Amino acid sequence: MIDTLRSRLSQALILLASTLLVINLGVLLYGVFARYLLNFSPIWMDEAARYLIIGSVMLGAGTVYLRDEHMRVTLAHRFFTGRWSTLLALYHWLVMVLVSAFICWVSANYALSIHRFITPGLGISKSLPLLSLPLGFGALCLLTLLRGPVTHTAHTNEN
Amino acid sequence: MMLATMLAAFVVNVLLGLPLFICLLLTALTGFLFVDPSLIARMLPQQIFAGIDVFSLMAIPLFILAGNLMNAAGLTPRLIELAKALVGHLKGGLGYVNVVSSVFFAGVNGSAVADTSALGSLLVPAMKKEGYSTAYAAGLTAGSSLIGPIIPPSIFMILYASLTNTSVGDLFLAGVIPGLILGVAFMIMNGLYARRANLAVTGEKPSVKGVLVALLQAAPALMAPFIIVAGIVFGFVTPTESGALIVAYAAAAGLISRHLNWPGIKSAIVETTRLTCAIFMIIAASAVVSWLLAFAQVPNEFSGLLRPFTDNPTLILLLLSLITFITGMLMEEVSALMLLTPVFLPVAMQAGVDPVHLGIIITMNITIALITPPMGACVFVAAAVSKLDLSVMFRAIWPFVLVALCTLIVLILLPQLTLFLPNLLG
Repeated sequence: MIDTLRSRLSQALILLASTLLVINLGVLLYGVFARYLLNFSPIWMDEAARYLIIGSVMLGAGTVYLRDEHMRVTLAHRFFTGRWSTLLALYHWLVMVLVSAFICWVSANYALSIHRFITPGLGISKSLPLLSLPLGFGALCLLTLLRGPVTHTAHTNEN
Repeated sequence: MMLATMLAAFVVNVLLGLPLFICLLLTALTGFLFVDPSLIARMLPQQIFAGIDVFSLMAIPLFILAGNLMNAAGLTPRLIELAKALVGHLKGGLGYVNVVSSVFFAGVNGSAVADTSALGSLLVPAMKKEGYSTAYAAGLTAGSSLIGPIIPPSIFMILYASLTNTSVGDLFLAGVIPGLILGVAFMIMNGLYARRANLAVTGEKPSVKGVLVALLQAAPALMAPFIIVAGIVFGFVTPTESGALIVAYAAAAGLISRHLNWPGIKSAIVETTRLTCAIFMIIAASAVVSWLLAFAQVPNEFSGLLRPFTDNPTLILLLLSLITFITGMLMEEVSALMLLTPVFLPVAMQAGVDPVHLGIIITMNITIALITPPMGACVFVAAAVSKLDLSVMFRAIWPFVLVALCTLIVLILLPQLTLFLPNLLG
């Protein structure tokens, strides 16, 4: 049940993140097309491209963690065996959950605190792009919680 | 005290195997406790966001996607065929093919690790069959892959440009000659090895028609770096827009040649998204640590330490290179670049070093770190694809590190080599 939930959530997040990347590509190509063929430069293009990538990165971070594709040094796994390996997995799990939950909370507060500021290009509240941070770190926290304190080697290439 | 604690927090967590972006965030949280904990609520999310809210960084996923699409379309193996047609018939031919393929691959994906993996799995077994030692074949594959991030497009250069407001076009142009010099250096090394090992000449000298056919087949992939550099340098497009155009070009080339299908496109997009996440999370977390270091006046203190040497730009570049080399041995490349560049820039500026020259020297240093033990990613990949024991690989890689370091010193001593193309065309 938990495995299915985690797997579905992870797939949905990476699909969403990939979609944002493709939309970003479309926005940039439209920008070039508009500048050279329609003779105007959409002022929102720059901002939209930036926010789309930030959204993509934040949404995908949890899935990338589950797949053990975030850059890290795997030296410790060679030296920590048996009970030490379990302790190390527990330490990883606790740090990941606590740090991501903390940043989720801090960034949610910050994003909501600046809702009155409007972005110059898209004319939207600055909170909107900034909310990708609590969403991303929240998803990372949730996926890590659902995965539990297990060593990464058992879960590499999930999905 | 603050720096020592931050460093300890970083090193311990890195060694314990936590993802680097989490190590950096933990380091930043430790730093905030020293500076002012009340800043966390505002500065932590602000800096994470600001670190990746940079338009020029948007080019990175696009160049990665273009490379992935070309791989999915089967365009890259044609580059190896072209290299074989050009230099495969020489004594030590496969070694030359390895280096020349790296030069061609550099224009397509710009990733040394991807280059090592792709070329290593194809060329190391073939080189072994022709009498090369496995250690040498693996070392040459890892070593020549360093050309990838130096010849445009280069992720490291885009990162450096975003941190220093340097022109990406100038950096891309400046990387061409150093990349080629590095290639020539590895080819000289291969020539000496082939003579000493008395390798047999195996390939036949190709006909002009054979070379032309190989050139024609590889043309779609070979055109990519020219489109990127020309578009940026002549001011038609920004680096990010050039990334978008090159993705469209790669997709069109793949679809026209009928080698690219929907599963290939989907896989390229998802793979790009995942790699982008991994890189950008480190950039975001590094931005927080960089801000803290700047807030604590670390770059100024560092400038003060090196002030006695600032009347000699060459000495400054040598000192900065030494620091980057040691840091690169112990730290992941993107975070090393993100953390060191803001600290180095004021010192180099004081010494009168051209920021484009500094960019190439830092890129080169950071790239060399990819093959230095104990953390060089390319060494691990080369050992894995060659089925070589890591301790053997660690010993075998040093001659290649030495060649790369000699090239670096030449580039430091002769800035004209780096600045010639930007001055001519930039």
